[in-house]
Amino acid sequence: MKKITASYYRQLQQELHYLVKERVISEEQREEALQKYEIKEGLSTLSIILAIGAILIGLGVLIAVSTNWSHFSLLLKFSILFVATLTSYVVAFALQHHFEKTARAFYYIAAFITGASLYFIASLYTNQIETGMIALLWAVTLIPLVLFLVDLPITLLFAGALFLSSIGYAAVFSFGILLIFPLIAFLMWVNEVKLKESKLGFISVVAVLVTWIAALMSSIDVPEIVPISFIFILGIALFFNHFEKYFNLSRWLGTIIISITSLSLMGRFTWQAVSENSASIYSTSFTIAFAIFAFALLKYASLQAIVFIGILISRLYFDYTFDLIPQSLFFVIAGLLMIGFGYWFERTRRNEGQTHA
Amino acid sequence: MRKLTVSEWLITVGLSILCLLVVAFPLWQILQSKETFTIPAVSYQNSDENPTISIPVEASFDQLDDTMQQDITNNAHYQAKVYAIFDELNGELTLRRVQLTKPDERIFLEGSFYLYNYEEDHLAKTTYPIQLNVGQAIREADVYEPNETLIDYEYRWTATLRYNNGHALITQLHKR
Repeated sequence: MKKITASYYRQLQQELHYLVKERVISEEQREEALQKYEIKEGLSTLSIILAIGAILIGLGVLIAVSTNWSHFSLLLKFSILFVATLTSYVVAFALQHHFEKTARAFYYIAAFITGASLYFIASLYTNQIETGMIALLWAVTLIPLVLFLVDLPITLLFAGALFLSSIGYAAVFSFGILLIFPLIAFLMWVNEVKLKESKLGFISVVAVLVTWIAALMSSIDVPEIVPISFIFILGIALFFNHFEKYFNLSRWLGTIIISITSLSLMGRFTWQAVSENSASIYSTSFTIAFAIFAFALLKYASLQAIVFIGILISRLYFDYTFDLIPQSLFFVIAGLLMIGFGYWFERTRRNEGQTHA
Repeated sequence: MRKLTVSEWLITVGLSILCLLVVAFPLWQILQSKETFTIPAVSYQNSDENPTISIPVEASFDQLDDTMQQDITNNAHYQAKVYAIFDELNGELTLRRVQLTKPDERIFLEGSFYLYNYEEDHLAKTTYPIQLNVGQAIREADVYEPNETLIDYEYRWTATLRYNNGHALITQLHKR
């Protein structure tokens, strides 16, 4: 028997009654259908009052702790953080069999409290917290939850921790940044095997991978063109993918990455690290190659090709006309170009939709 | 949502607790230590306003290690984690050297070094500020009276550091 809310049950009754009146189904069939459903117990007034009371108590405790935090001894501060972490996990475990949604919320709370506790404990003895290391440790603490809970929000939180860790390690190279890569591989595996190829999970993997590449290159102080080129190649790989479930998503992610990186690669400044004198030649060569690539794609992937052509024309327009024409005219023409591309994009999208129909 | 078994829950909680203890380990080391030193410190608020205390240390060009000297000469610019090595005289710390790698010396503190483009002809005159990385657990502090004059809007202190193995906590502040 399926449990549904009271309002949904009432709606179902009304619709089945309508079908009986229209002689689509018989009265017996209506009764039989209704017996397949039962009304889910909703929140009672008492439950709501208790929940509000608990939230108010929690807020009060939080305010009391935060306003007096500076007056607490080190041992008391550590104890509060430790006990808060442990308590949230205990409550989540105790509730999980009978109050699944509440238990899930407490697991989320436990995950956040763990991250906050790591940060606050580090701040007790240092004024320059190594956010990269703290975020990496936080990601490590989330591994069991990701593996055992099989829950998308927790997995996305894990991806967020890896993202923060990459950003934290971007300034100065440390061995820790290399440890992020196997965790990204683990995130990909979890998304494929445990979460059954979640699209949001796939987006998070790509986002973290791009951030990690950029952060790693930044930490070893290589010229800008190196990470941009790596990420451009990643974009190409995503664009020409052979995924079954992610085909369209991967293509669009590749389009976004290629668009952003090519904007930079079309600029002379990016190529100056390769050769000061030949930077213009390299940037022009890339622009021409990109133009050929974009127009060649018109038949094969027309929507994405329009985006690339739009990026190309925008870049050329900004580079060559900003100083040449009055600024008011510049922005008017820019607006007309945007509208033109938007119209072309929408028309192509509709034509493709009709073709598939 | 899948429910955790007892062993899975124990692994989850155990790993979280373990990571908390790993991060707390330097704090535990400092609290076990009886070794204290003093060093000049500054803040922009009086001690009764729970201020952020900073310990800026000025290193001369000669006190920097060869790599950092070379970077300055080559007009490099970056941010780096550095290690400031100190000598101790009558409980007071004086800077001996700054280097990029972890030292073998007994008394050292981590810090941050921001390298900007310095003109070559100023190399002999310039000092290089290092911001030391210490915690605060101030139990005893003087308070500046309202009529006391400040220099450069700074409250200047002699900070007592409780030290262990490269980590330190400021535990006392006395007016300088």
